[in-house]
Parts: sequence; C-alpha cells; structure tokens
Amino acid sequence: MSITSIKFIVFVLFNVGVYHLCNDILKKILLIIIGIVFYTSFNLYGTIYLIFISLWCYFISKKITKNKMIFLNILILSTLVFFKTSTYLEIIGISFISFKIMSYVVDKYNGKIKNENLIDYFCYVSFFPVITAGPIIRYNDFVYKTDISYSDIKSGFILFMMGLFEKMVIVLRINEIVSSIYSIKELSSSYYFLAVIFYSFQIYFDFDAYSNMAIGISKMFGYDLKPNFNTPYLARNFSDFYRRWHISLSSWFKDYVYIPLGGNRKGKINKYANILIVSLLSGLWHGFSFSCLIWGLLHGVFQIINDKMRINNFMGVITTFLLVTFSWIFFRNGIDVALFVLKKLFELNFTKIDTNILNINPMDFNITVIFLFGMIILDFFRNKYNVLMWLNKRNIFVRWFIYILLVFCFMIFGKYGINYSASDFIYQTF
Amino acid sequence: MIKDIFKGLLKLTIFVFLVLIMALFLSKVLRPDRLDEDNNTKDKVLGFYNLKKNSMDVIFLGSSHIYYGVNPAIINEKTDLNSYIFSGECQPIEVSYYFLKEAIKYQSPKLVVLDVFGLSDSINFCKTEGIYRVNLENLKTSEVKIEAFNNLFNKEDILYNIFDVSLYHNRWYELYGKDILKKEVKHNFGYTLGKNYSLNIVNFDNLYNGEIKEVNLDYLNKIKKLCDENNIELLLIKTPFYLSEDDAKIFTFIQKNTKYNFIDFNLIKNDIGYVFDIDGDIWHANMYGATKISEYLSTYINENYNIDKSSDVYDEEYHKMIIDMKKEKFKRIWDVDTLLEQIKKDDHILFMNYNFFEGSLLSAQDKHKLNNIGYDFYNHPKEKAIIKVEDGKVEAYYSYDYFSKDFYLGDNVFKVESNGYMWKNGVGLNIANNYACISVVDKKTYEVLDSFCMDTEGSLYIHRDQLEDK
Repeated sequence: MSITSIKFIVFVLFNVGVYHLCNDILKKILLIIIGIVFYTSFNLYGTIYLIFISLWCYFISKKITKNKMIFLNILILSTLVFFKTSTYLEIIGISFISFKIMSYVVDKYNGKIKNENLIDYFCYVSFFPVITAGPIIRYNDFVYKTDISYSDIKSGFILFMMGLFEKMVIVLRINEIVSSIYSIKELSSSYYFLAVIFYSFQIYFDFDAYSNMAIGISKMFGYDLKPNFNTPYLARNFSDFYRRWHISLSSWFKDYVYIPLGGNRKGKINKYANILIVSLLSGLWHGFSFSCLIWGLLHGVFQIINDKMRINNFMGVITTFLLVTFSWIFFRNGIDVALFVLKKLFELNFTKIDTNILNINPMDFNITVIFLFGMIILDFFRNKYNVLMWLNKRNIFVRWFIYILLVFCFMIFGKYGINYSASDFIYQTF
Repeated sequence: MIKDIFKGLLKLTIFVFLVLIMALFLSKVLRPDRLDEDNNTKDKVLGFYNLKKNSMDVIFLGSSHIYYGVNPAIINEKTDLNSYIFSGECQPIEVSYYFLKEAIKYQSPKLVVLDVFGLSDSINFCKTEGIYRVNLENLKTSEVKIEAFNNLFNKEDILYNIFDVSLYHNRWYELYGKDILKKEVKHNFGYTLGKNYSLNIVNFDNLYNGEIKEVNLDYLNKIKKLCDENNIELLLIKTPFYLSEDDAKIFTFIQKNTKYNFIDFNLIKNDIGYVFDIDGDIWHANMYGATKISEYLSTYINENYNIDKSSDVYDEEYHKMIIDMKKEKFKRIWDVDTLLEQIKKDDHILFMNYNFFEGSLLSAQDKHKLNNIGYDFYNHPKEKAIIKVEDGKVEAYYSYDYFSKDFYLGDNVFKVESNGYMWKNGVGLNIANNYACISVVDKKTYEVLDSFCMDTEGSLYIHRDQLEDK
C-alpha cells in the first residue's frame, strides 16, 4: 500500500478513529495489528521476518549478557546483509527495522530499558508510520502521550498532508527534470549542473516529506517523534551537517558505533579512523554498492578535512552544501554514470537551458523552480517559524483558504493519477 | 475529546465536499477538446444537456455512423418531430447503453433509433480506453457515469476516472491565454454535416451470403429492456458503409434472430438512390447521403409510429440547420445546369440581374436556360435587368442605363444593382463584373443561401468571388 495513495489516507483516518475509541491496551494491540496489516501489504516474507527477528531478540535480551548482545547484533547484521544483497527476496525497510531492534538490544544491555513488556515492544517494532523509511526511533523515545488532544490529531493530519504535498508536487516535479537530464546523453554542462543541484534538493525534500508524513501520522496516534531534519543545507561544516541531516540515523551511528569505538577520546588518528568507519558503514547501510561506498568515503574524507579546516561562516555553508552536493552524484548513480557526470561538469561547456530538449514544457519547468524556491525559503525559516503553529493562530477563513489553495496547487501541479506510478520514496529502498 | 473528534469529522466532511466540487470543476475545465470539430463528442454531449427537458421525441444512438448519417433537421421537416443524435465517436454498444440510461433522465422520447455499428465486428478496433473515455468523460457526474466507468474500466481507478483532473491536470499550461469560461456549445442536435465521398468499390452482393452462429446481444437486450421499462419503441438501423463480411454476418444474424425492427441501409441503398460516389465515404454518409437516409427514415416513422410532437421550441433551430445544409450544397455546385435546376426545384426567393453591354455574347441555349428561371431575353435583349422571383411571380425592371433597386424582406433591405453588385443590409454578397448574378434567399429567414455570378462571354460558367462590405 503506497503511502501516497488515497487508500492509505482512508486507512489511516479510519484507524485513527477506531484507535481513539479504544482503551490504552486495546490501542496498542490495534497498533500492532495495523502495523502487521500495513507491512504485509508490501511483502508477507517481510512480516514473517519482522515477527521472527523481533520476538527472537526480545526473548533473548530479557536476560541479556554481553555475548548475547553481540550474538543478536551479529544475527541482525547478517540478515541485513543477506537481504540487502539478495536478488530474490527484498524486504522493504529492513535497514530501519534492523537498526531499531539493534538499538533496543544495546540499550537493554546498557540498562537503559527497564520494565519492558511484549506488547509495548512489539508496538514499538511494528509501528507502521516509521517501519518502511524511518525515522529510526529509540525504545525509550517511543512514549504514548496520554493527554493527547484533538488539536494534536489535527496538527498531525496537517503535517502528514504537508508531507504529501511536498512529495507529490515538489519532489516528483524535480525528479522529472533530473531523470530527464540523466536519460539524455549529450547535453551541455549547464544541464548537469542543474541536475546535480536539483538532486540535492530532491533527495532532501523527498526524505523530509516522508519524515513529515511519518511524524504527522505518529502524532495522530499519540506519539511525538523527534524531527529528522533541521535545515541541513544551512550546515556550516560536516559535523554540523550530521546534526541536521537524517538525525535519527546520524545519532544512531554516533551512539552505537562512533562512541563505542572511542569517538574523539583517543587521539586524532583514532578519531579520524572512527569517522571513516562510520562513514563507510553509513554508505553501506544505504546500499551494498561501490558507489554508496564512495559516497560514504567522500563524506568521511570531507568531514576529516573540515575538522582540520573549519570555516564557520557563510562560506562554510556554501562549501558544505557544494561538497554534499558533489557526493550525492555518487549516491544517485553507479560509478560509470557518476564519472560521466563529473566529466560533463568539468567540461564547463555552458549553454542556455532549453526545456524542450528535456520534453518538459517551459511553463511547467518554471512552476517547478518557483515551488522549489518557495520550499527552500520555507525550509530556511522553519526554525524560527513553526508553520503549524502559525496556521493554528489564523482564523478559520484564512486557514481554510490556505488549505483550499494548497489542494488546488496539488490538483493542478501534483504528479499523480492513473498514468503515474509514483516513484517510491528514495529512503524506502534502504 | 470525543466531541472534538466529531466536530473535526464534520469539518473534514465539509472540506472534502468542497474539494470534490473543486475537483469536478477543474475536471471540466481541463478536459481536452480531443477530436476535430466534426467529431467533437464533447459538444454533442454538452448540447444534449442544454436541451429543454422532455422536448425530444426521438433519440438517435450510436457512433459517428449515426451522427453523419441522420439529419435531425430533415426528420423535423418531414415528420414535425424533435430529435437529437446522442452519440459519440466510434461508440461501442455498451457505451450506447449508458448513453440511453443518461438520456432518459432528461428526455422522454417515444422512439429510440440505434445504429448497430456498435455491434459489428469492425467496432472491435474502437474498444480502447481512449474511445471509452472520449465518449463517457463529458457525461455529467452521476450514478450512470460511475456505473459506466466501474464496468468498463479498472474498478480501482474509479476516483481517477470520475475526477479526471487527475488525468488532465498536466494540461494546465495549455489553457494559458484561452477563454476557459463557458463557451457557447454548437450542437446541431448531435448531427455532423459530412462532405466526403468515395468510389463505390465494395461488392455488397457476396457479403450477405454467410451466417454466424452467435452474436453477443447482451447490451442490445439491455437497451431493449430499458426502452420497454420506459415505454419507448426501439428501431435498429445500419447506415451504409464499407462493411466487412463479418459485419454482414452479424447484421444478418440480428435480422434473422431477433424480433427487433431493423432497417439495414446497406441492403436498400439502391432503393433510396444512395451511391458512394456521391453520398458518402467508406464509413459515413455525407450531407447528400444523410438527406436520403433521413427522408427514408422520416417516411418510415410517419408510417409506423404514432408520435405526438413534444414542443415547438426548436423549430427555428432545425430550420437553421436546413439553411446551413443548403448553403453547403449550393457551394458545391459549379455546373450551371445543375445549379439552375436546383434553383428552379427549390422554392426560394431569387434576386437576379443582367448587365447588358455591347459585345456581350450569350448563346441562344444559355438565354433559354436563364429565361427558365425568370429572365426575359426575348423581350428585353439589349437592356440591363433587375429581377426578383418569389412564389413563381416575377418582378422585373429594365433600363438601358445603370440603375439599382431596393427590395424589402422583413427587416432586411436587399439592394440590387444592374451591374451585378448585390447587398443585404449594406453587406456585399458578391463582386460583380459585367456578369449576370443571382442571389438565392430563404423565404422563411431571408438568409442568403448562395450568391454567384455567371460569365456571359461564351458559355456560362460560375464565379463565387469574395464578398466585400459597403
């Protein structure tokens, strides 16, 4: 069941309704059932794996020892590697599930989790808004808000719809342009610069959209999740970037790999080695391919260079953005294509962009650019201005006018319909 | 909290309702005008909805075969009944069934005439998503449209099909600069005036020899049932076209194995004088063929059905269609004899002139031809003439010098000059140049059906030059 489909929206709304009529225990059981049903809609084997691995880990970690922790983590990592490299069996969201369970096992070992029970645990593992593409939530952060109000449900729904808008109107439009450029061989450098920059925003807004939808749905069910992004392209250096980008994954690697390896406590060489290890593992987490490895390596190298040469002002923001954008070239494409794109970029052969070559109407292209700029501006100010709070303070007519306008924009400019197979969220493939 | 949730659900319901209204509106605005004007199903469907309720006595159903093949104006002229061709391009019979279902919500016809091309073997190439969509998408959103899309398309896509803004929203930039507000729909009661013809190369004799065992008549039976439930008579027809052997077998089957009244014009085309060289192309009748088919049908309806007329409200519009058809027919005549014969046959008002000058040559034969329609060369051989003919009465004026006359018909002024220039209410009808000119005017509406001049040097030939305003 695609989370951008009408079926999914009806599924969520119906279940929210039923959910809030239940008592606390029934709520959790219902969430488990919803999670199983939702996940099974993708693949039955995934559900079987989920049930097996999570129950296995739960019961073994009830009386956890160091050896058991290591064993469980190796087991989870092995299955992760197996399914990621298998061509026969694809389990959607396996990276997120694996890291979630691993965090539970380690936190249990470290004594951070006490008084757990099977229902709460399984509710946490199978929580459907985050099961396929994160954020990666920690067991202790998965707390039901007992004083949930109607306002929370409403805010959650609006956040979900904003994420949907972000995906269907902005991300898919950008994707059309980027894919079009990549599908045509002989274009000038201008086009590849455009594609590379646009992709930076595509991947960010794509993941941000999903995160908003996941956080919005979680809110509707009474779970306040932490934000997963914090204007990452305003980062002044790479360390700052990781505090803003895919925060749940970055913090996971920090807490469960970087710090246990010693972090920055055992000298510079050890620190840089740890940075490289984490970066390479992060690359592999995203994909078992040479290009993902290169991407991870680049991030590690840039982080090390950045550590030695700190530029913390506006130039730092620009430099970080450009380096991140550069490394996305490898993230998106295989090595051959990435090298081809680099060659095209360094040719410095600039021509005027003719959108007709890309089979895109010029007006359509312009609208995409306008929406993109609008989104960038909104994103830059999201720390200072909470859009939801601002909306809630307006009177009903203003609010409804804005909602209707957004729906109008969605209907006209969105990429949806029978003729579209909405491309998966990028992070759903991990 | 529960109270808040109910309030929230109510607001959500109202919001969703507003969104659906917006979706329906945007669907209508963004839906493309898919086909050329002649085959514009959109206007035919929208025109139907603009009719006065329960004003139609006969509804024609089917594909382009029927909307080219039957002229409701001629049906009205000969039977005094109102009819509409509620049909669509390449329409399979299952779609015709839904069209009928929709039609009877707004009209109470006594007779439905169905062209059975929708049952033929040739229709199979029409059973595509595109054709279904072209036919159905302009129907009003209702239970009929939903049922049609549900049965003919993937059920899962029903929302996309009903709110087809989902299909056409990418067209938004095509609307830039276009007038998206409601434009006048020109429906011609669903009729398209055809102009094409083709060589008569089909040997119809051998085609009807074979028989097939079975034809799926489910939808035909559904149409019949719907007619019976609503006290409507059903008449099946097939307009002439280049049918295949399989088509012929199907029509034979219908003729022999059903109790429906069925007129197969392919079998009686000789009886009505329908010739492909003149009356139609491989698929459709042209205006000449449609005249013949419509006249035959009118006679058949008068003889076999006792139908009272519902309303007079469209009489003028039907007459306007006749005018348009006559204009087209006249425009195509370039032979003097044929044209003069047509003028004499039809009962119109004629304004004529003859601009005599020394040296102008007119053969005795040509003088005789022109005398037959009102000229008088025997008594006024060397004079300039201005002549009006109405109801057989000739009003003629002669002079050796240039002169002009004004004639008043209703609120219209027709000015005729002896040099051949003619004007209606100050608007020029022709460019004369030492010619004999004739303007043919409809008696009822005073519309000019044709205005032409003839060269009088040598044998007569026809000019139709561009008009200019005075």
